[in-house]
Amino acid sequence: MSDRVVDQELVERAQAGDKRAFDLLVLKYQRKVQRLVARFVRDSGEIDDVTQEAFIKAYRALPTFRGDAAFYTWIYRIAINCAKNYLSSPGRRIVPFSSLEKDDDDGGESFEHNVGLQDASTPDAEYASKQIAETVNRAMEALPEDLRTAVTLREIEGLSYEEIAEAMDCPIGTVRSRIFRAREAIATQLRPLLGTNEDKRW
Amino acid sequence: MANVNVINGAGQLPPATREQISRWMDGDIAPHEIDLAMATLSKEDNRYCWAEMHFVGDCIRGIEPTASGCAERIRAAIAAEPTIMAPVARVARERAALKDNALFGAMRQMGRGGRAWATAAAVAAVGFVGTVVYQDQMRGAQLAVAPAVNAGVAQARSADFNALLQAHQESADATSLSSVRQYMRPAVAIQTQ
Repeated sequence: MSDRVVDQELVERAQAGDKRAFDLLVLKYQRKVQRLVARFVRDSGEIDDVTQEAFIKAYRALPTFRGDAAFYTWIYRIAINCAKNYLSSPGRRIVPFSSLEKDDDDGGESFEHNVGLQDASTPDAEYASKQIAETVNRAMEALPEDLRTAVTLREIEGLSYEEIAEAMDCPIGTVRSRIFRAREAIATQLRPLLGTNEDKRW
Repeated sequence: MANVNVINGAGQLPPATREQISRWMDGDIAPHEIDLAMATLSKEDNRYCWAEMHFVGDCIRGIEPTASGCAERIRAAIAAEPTIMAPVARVARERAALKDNALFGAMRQMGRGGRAWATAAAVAAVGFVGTVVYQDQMRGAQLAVAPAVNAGVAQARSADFNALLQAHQESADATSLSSVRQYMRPAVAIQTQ
């Protein structure tokens, strides 16, 4: 199974009236959607507004989602449409990102271009984001080699557990354990940074 | 969703549960585990763990942490929405699975001997249909040739008849109508007028 199957299961449960299942999709994709919206909209408050609108529209349109496409391509398309509608609405400020047209071609599924949120954030928020990024980098560097390799193959390369087991020549149970321990080590370093009510990350 | 709960909630979950959530979010989940996973993730603390692990993953991928998450406000907005009851995706998936299962299930139930007979029957059916189609095509070709032959015969008959008619006219002109020829021209002229 892939994580797309998990998404499909969550969508089906949301369609059957389980709002908590939809919330799990929001928790999974909200940052990716925010990041995508930030390519079109500069102000952080407006980014959150458009992101929220995208998820609400997706929820309302759930009865039309048959699962032929992946959920993330569907929600990205909705988010792009929401952002474009927002920009074209009267009285809105249009941010002329030079890469706007180019970015649109990939359906918002790549995030190489580092534009958007950094410009949109306040200095405090920017500092907090930088602090988190540095903490994650330090935590990654401090990981044992096999844990770092396993979590990198999963999170960055997108390999399945079977593929990682083959690449690292180890049982799949070992892959599960390594990825989990790597995530735990990083989460442990991050928790002190996330533990205030004012700094809600999700 | 206050982040203090991340510390007091997800951080204190049993490691086995956290490891399960870690692998479930990557799609490493057996079909029989899906109900368990959904029941587990419906609990608040486990949802924090889910959110936290995805946050870690996003950070590793270099997606900059946003100034604030908006899941809480989205959750509040969704709570105000009417509950959806439209299991279209499940119906579509089950219908597709049913179609596949009907065919493969029937094949499975036949066993090895049954499958051999089914294969032989399929080959025989294809051969039979092929023969019928071939015969139909041949019959069609013959029917297509027949009008051409008939046309040729008709053309030959027409030529013979014209020759006969011409000969008859010549002889008639010379013999039988000679006595009335003086009356024919005005009659023909009247007809043409």
